[in-house]
Amino acid sequence: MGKLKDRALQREKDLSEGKRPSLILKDADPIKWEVLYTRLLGIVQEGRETARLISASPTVREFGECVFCVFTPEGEVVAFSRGILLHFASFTATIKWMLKNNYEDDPGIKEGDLFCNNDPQIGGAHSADVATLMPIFRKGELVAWVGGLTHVMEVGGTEPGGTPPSALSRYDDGLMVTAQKVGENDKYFRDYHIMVSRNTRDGKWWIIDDLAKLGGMIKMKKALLDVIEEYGIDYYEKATYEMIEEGRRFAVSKIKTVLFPGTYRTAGFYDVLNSEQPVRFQKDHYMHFPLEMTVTKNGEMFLNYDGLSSPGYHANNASLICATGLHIYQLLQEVLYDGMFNAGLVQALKLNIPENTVLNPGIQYACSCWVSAMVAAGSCFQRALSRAYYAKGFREEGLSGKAITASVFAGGVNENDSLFSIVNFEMNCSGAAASSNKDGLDSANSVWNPEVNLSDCEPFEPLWPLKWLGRGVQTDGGGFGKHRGGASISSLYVIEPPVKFIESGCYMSGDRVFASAGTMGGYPAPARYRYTLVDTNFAEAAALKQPLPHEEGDPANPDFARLLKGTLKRGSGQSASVQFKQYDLIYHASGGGGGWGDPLERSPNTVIREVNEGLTTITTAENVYGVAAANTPGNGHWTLDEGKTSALRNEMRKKRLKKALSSKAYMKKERKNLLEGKLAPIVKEMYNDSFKKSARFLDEFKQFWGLPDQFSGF
Amino acid sequence: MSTRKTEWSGDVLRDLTDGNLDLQVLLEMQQSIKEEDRFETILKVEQEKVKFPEKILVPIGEHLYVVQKGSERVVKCACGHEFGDYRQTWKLNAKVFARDTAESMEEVFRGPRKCDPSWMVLREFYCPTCAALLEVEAVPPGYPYVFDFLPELD
Amino acid sequence: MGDDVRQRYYCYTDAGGTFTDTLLIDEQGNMISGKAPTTPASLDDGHIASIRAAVEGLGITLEELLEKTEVIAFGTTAIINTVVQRSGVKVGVLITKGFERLPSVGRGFQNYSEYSWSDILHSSTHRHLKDLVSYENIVGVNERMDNTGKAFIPLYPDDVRAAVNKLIDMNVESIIILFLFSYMNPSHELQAKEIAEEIVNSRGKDIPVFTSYEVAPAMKEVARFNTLAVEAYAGGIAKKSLAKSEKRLADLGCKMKLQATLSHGGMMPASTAHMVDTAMSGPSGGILAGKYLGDVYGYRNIITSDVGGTSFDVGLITGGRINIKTEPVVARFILSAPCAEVTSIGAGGGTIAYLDPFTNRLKVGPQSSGSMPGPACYGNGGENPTVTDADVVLGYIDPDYFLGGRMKLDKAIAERAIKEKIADPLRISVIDAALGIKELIDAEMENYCRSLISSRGYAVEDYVLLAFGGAGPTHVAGYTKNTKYKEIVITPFASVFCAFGGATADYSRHYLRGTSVFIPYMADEQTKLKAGETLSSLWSEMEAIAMDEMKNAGFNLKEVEFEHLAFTRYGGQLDEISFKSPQSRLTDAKTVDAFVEAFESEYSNVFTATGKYPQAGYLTLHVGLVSRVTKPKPSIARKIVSKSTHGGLKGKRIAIFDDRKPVETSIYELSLLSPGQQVKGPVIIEHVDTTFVVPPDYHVDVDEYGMLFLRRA
Repeated sequence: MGKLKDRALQREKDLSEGKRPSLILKDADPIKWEVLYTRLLGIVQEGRETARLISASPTVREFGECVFCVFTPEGEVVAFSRGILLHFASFTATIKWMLKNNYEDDPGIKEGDLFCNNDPQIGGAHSADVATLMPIFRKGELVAWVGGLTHVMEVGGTEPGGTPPSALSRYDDGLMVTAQKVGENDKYFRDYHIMVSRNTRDGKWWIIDDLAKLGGMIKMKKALLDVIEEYGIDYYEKATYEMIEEGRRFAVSKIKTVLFPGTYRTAGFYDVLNSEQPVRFQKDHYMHFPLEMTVTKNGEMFLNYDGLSSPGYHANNASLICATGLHIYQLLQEVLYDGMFNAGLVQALKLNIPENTVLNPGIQYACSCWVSAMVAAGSCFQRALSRAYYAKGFREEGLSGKAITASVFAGGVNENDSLFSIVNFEMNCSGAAASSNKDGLDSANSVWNPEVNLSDCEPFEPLWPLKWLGRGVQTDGGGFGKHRGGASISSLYVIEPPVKFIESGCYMSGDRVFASAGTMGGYPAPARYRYTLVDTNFAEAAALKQPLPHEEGDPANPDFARLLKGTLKRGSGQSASVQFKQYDLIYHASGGGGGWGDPLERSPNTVIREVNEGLTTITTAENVYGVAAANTPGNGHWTLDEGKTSALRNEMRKKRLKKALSSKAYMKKERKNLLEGKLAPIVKEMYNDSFKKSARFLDEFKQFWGLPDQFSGF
Repeated sequence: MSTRKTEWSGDVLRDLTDGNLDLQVLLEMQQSIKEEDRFETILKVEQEKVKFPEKILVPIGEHLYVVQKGSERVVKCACGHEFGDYRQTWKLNAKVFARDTAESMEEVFRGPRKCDPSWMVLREFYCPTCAALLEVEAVPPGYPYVFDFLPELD
Repeated sequence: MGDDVRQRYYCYTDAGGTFTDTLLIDEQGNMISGKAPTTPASLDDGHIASIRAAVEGLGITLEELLEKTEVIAFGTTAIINTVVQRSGVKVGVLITKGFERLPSVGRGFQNYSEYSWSDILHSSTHRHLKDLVSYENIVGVNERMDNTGKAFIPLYPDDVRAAVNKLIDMNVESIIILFLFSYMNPSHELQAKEIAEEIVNSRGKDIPVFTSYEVAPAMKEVARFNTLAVEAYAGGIAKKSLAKSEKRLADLGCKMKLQATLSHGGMMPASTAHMVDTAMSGPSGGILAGKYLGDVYGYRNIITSDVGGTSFDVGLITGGRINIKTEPVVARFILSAPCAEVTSIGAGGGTIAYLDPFTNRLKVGPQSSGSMPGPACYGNGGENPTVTDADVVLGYIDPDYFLGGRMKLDKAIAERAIKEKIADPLRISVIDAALGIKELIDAEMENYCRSLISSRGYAVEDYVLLAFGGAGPTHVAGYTKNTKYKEIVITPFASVFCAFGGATADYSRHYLRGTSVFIPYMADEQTKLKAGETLSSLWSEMEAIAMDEMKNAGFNLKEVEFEHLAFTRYGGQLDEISFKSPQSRLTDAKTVDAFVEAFESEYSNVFTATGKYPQAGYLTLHVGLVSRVTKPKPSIARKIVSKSTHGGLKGKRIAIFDDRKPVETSIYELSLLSPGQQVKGPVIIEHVDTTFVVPPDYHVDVDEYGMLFLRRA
């Protein structure tokens, strides 16, 4: 009894003291060892492929939002399938949590048991991430765990779609199943699925995904036991710990090779505008993500979030497990992509995320829209990594600020009284960040899964009463620069056909602030927002074959407002769900990536090509890129005027120096404002919070602005 | 992943440092195993590009290098402009333009695509000599300059 | 062979990337093959040349052969080449307004289709595909159908006129029309086509106009667009080259129409087929041959495995049916064109072994040394050790008898490459390193077969594995080591196996039609009838079209058979499974129930009964029709079973197996093995174009068809 718990604690102790296994088996017979690893990878992939075929949800089928793992008895990842890789740390946490909470004694862990978890404080990122875990026994002894996780479309909560933006506390996040035993003998309890179907708007997503995971895990169990038989349990166990150690060694050695040692600093910011939302606590939030990344000569990496903002009663907190997983995933995606994917990577990255912060909140906080918090943090990490790559000469790598990833969701009651609840997952189609040698990819990037995929409209429209009037790429949608950030997908919907009831909202925010910063002269990606046009004359206009809107057009005077009657509202990029009716219009775009380098160094021919392709406006071409073009009358085709362009660019460079202040002068002016307290209340609140969190941040702040010693906040 | 360690020609690396490498070659480079000696080869290429005589110790950003100047280590722009000791951020010796009003933001971001200047400002740092835009900070009013990178040189 | 004047022949040719292979089969099933370099510029040259090469072995003239030819078929990848080289015609597009970006954004996964896992993970390597149609030649048109086929925006005819005129001004050579949900209601597309053709004619142009409804009336706009675009962009060119072949063959006295082999394993007269349906004809050969053998031997479940130089291609035949993929990825584009499902990983003789520089782990593939420089042992300057190098070092491949001696290999170079790049850094022997390379690639291939079968929900124990391709028989024992297949079969004609498969194809055509028919759980009579009606009417529509095409192709309509398919899922699922409807018309509740049962039983097959969820109801989003005219098939020659036990023994050499000990191993000549013969491992059985490795504890039985069965003692 409690044996595994002690092993888990001992293992943690050993690792913290740097007691690591040497690679005895690998050195003795590298081939046998390698073949075993290949076999394990085969097992997790088999599980995932099985699940993908059975799964219900578009997220799993179309976007591959699922992942499967094999774990050590203590819950460390040995092999990891493709899929939502941010969950690297997440099952591990669940298994460890169960062990530490004496699940071995009560409720007991025995052969054929199934455990479910979607409590983001224990595993996953938000309650939409539903995991099933299965202990694997051999001769009565627990020798491994297998687990599967899928992103479920509907989990209850304040709003449809699985990730309610108006959730203010954990208790609004949706149905929470905390590391609960939900089945025995490889079969789910019937009452568990009854609970699920009665406590979510549409139980089928969750339940069919449960069946899908089970299908995959039963396969994995059989295959894994065969492998253990073949290699012998002793070899298998020792080898798996060696693989984890090898994973760590790979990480250290690669970091050492490709990143320049030093101290890197970035700061990211993020807003939640609940003052304008129909929620209980109508308060805005402003979050500060100061990151210090240290890379040593020996390939150690340390991330320090000292000064990070407090959590808040809003949907955009992220659990520590989610934060850890995302940082590791990002490292995996940007640096360690050609290595071994297991718990060893976790050991290679040291993270300081203080308690009671937005990335390490207390139990009561909501995490449904964690993505925005992780975009802000991930964006800092990404930009820090890009400088480390840059300095070392690996200019083919390194990315500017990450894009906010946002989606539209809707739910309601169909004409036939059936309930619907779904999210379009266009967050999968944000713009990728620019890098030192290329533009970011348009509408094909997400924060948590490399295998992004955009669903076709035709299979999607039957699932909800939103019809795409247009789906394109947002013009001027990425951060400007020598290389521009990728632009986001950009969608205009009309509500049609009529339904008995429909509510719709969207996430994520990042509209009072730029959440996706630029790098080395590149601009941030544009701020986000949602437009709605209600009480429209859409039907009449269509019947009379009048011009109809299909895209945004000029953001300051959008097409739908120009071409149709109706009431236009600019809402926050994160808007809580409100009711709509037939022929209302919704415009929404996900986020763009940050730009890279001085826009005046962008190739004029590229600029003109993109003007002609409608990706860049002629205004931006002139004002930002300093490119002069002539419009061929008739076909509206633009051609470059090279002479004027170089003249214009010289002119703009002169202007820059003319309007700019010396740093000294600028700081003097700013200091005066600070001393006079000329700051918006929300900004003061953000600073004061970080001052309380970090004496160091306060000191540096005082020192930089030369503030009096007694200064302790605004 | 390519399995071969590719030797990249000087021209390829020059294009890479110019930020204009052919996209197909760039893809091959991304898919190749990273070379141990990239830093040394890039340093050579960078040194050939710049006009100033000082030895480049490490490139720290577009146009910017930490160089050995006598006993000092200073930040220099490719155009030769000097930003002072590398242990403090070069931004302290750059020209600054802050977009902190709706009007100045509108020059770059149209309508609702602006941020709220009372929440966040854009600080554009220019080289006082060549006027290159070296960094755009997106920070709240009153935020200290971000010291992006302190390389470990010894 | 050849002297009998009444003798009839099947003449099947497959134009591959480098070689064009022809296989001639007579009525007794004797086979003779010929090879000629592929001539991309005008494929007909390679086509005729390879037939000539085959005829030589036959002792008759080309004219005599063509005169005696029963069926003449040509499989070509012309259309893929055109797409890969982006050398097609200038296409103009009319698309539902608001969706002008659809072609360039496409499906996200096209940005990393055919990537290795590490590149997929390394997402800054992802790229959008180079457009087939430039953005400036895509024009939006106001119109919109909903998913039930009801128009909520009428077609704006003026938009169409303006668009067509603009495209003509842009000098497009072909116009395609794709509107959303046209598969539910094509009226807008057809109306637009009418207008477009009027304008094209009135302006005296000769520009073909295609609609997505006519080319691929299936759901999912991206795949439908790609299919339409590929046909318009590259189809004409491919059609011309087939027509050229047909003309030259006719001039040489061929009486039969040239048949084009199709991706789904059928063939149709080249003049009538959609070229986009031929894109994957090559790989489908192997699986067809597998199907044919399955019918001969009564195997219902077969996995075909083809190990070539660069890729490992696997296909499944389940319950006697070839798995048909409705959305294959071709040249990285997702298409909506039925295709015999053959999937691949980068693993083959040319696959490169290397050490990861950061951890010194041995890795094999997925990259290949290609044919140039090729494996180190080719002596063309390739420095990287490959799987073939390991096979040579282990004594499996005789350096002097590779491709029947057509190519001499250098064992010393192979050993050096493995020693320097793998063995020495790992501080292990060259033999251990070579075995390691073999074991790793074998494990990869084994994983792949297993997860393919079980991801379809089936048990490997129920499958017979068929191994062919140059390196298939060499590695089959390795990549089946830990899997208990029912049987492991190697054919005596591994190299022409795909070609043979092609020759067994029937005249057939697949039709697919998008729809949306929902049958709720415990549905009432009325709902069932309505559903039955919709499905039946779609099938009868497709039957009419099929009959028409069969008539044009000159077939006797009495011989046409149909298979009625449905692609159904539980409500809310996003993947359909295809199954055969027990009835072709669902006229009452009973037939509808039978239809639902058929789905449920197929579903339980695939996903085990645990996956069932009838409460969600049944949603049918595609219906399919297979029209078929059964064609007389070539047979494989059957021989008398003799009791001779040592036929074909031609020598001995040292080879090394898993136990790492060099053993003196008997070498047999495959063509000299006699039916009924059994040889015990360790032996190596050589053939002109493959080497079959039989490790210790295995033996091989030869049957009356000359098939070899690899069995464990």
